[in-house]
Amino acid sequence: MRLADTTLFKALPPGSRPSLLGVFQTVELAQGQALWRVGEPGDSLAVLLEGGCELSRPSGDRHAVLGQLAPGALIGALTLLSPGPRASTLSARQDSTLAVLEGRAFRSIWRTASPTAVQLQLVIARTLALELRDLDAQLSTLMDRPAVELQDAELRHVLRVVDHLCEEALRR
Amino acid sequence: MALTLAPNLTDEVLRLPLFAGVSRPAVTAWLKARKRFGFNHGQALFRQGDPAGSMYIVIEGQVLVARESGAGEQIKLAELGLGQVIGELSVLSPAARSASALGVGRGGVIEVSRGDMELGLALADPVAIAVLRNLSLQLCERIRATDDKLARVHAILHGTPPEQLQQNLRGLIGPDRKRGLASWLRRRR
Repeated sequence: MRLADTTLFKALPPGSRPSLLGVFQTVELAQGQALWRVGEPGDSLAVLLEGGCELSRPSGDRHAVLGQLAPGALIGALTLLSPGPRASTLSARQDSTLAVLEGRAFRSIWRTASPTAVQLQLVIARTLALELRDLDAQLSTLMDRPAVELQDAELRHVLRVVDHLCEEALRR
Repeated sequence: MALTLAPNLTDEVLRLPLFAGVSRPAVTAWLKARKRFGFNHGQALFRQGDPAGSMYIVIEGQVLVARESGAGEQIKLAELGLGQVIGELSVLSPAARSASALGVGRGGVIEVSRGDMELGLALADPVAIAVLRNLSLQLCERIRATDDKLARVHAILHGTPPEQLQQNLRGLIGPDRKRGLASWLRRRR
């Protein structure tokens, strides 16, 4: 898949696409190699062009796979807008090609307030809205209740129990 | 009902993180240019399950946000007043409404549809651009908070032996909640 054929690019004004193509860097990952690891400082977005990748993070003594990614997937949008530690490891299940947009490049585009900058931000925001809905759905499933009904006080209570249990576990 | 914009509406709206970084004259002009409509007591702005395509800003009266549980019981989630916003994610992507919004007494709202937002962005309206930017940052915070909750709930489900969990829960919560939490844990494990 070419970067120009991804959903991200198709949403951008046609005239702005060529200039933006040059801002992305192409990265090749061999099977098993990671583009970033959980906890590392994050400040970039990646689009999977070829191959297959997965998102994972440690869960107890296991390594939980959070999702498998196919070409066209947009990953890491959150840290592009709000740099911070990576919530998961992005690694290649097979040899893969990705296009990476660094935060510094994104911010210099954003400062122009051009139609390209605005549309790019809109596409990223839509991706984030879907991501939030997906996380809410996962939380609802775990808690047996729609996310909108989950009062923070109730969740805090459960989480306090979790913290206590972790401390207990560490003392054992 | 003639709906006028309260003199302090701009002040209230400017307090919202969604409008951070926008100038007062720009917000005032933007609010004036938006479509507004009135509601009566109990009238729905939208109902749970409706397709969502607009956000609303309260300009008069109050709006109750409530959800109907599976048992048909109404669960109050929030009551919003002057300058407060309902359904802001709807301007980004379509989804079914997760709750209903009902008028409390008579009042009015400003409606901002996804189309309004897209037009504003296409015309480089500074308010639309700021709302997009602020909404994106709020989404980042909410994603991080939800992700953290998920990771911690996962820890309780998969990281602790059941007998240890039960023992600890006994000391931490009252009998009613303990029963509820214990049966929830049994189902989820």
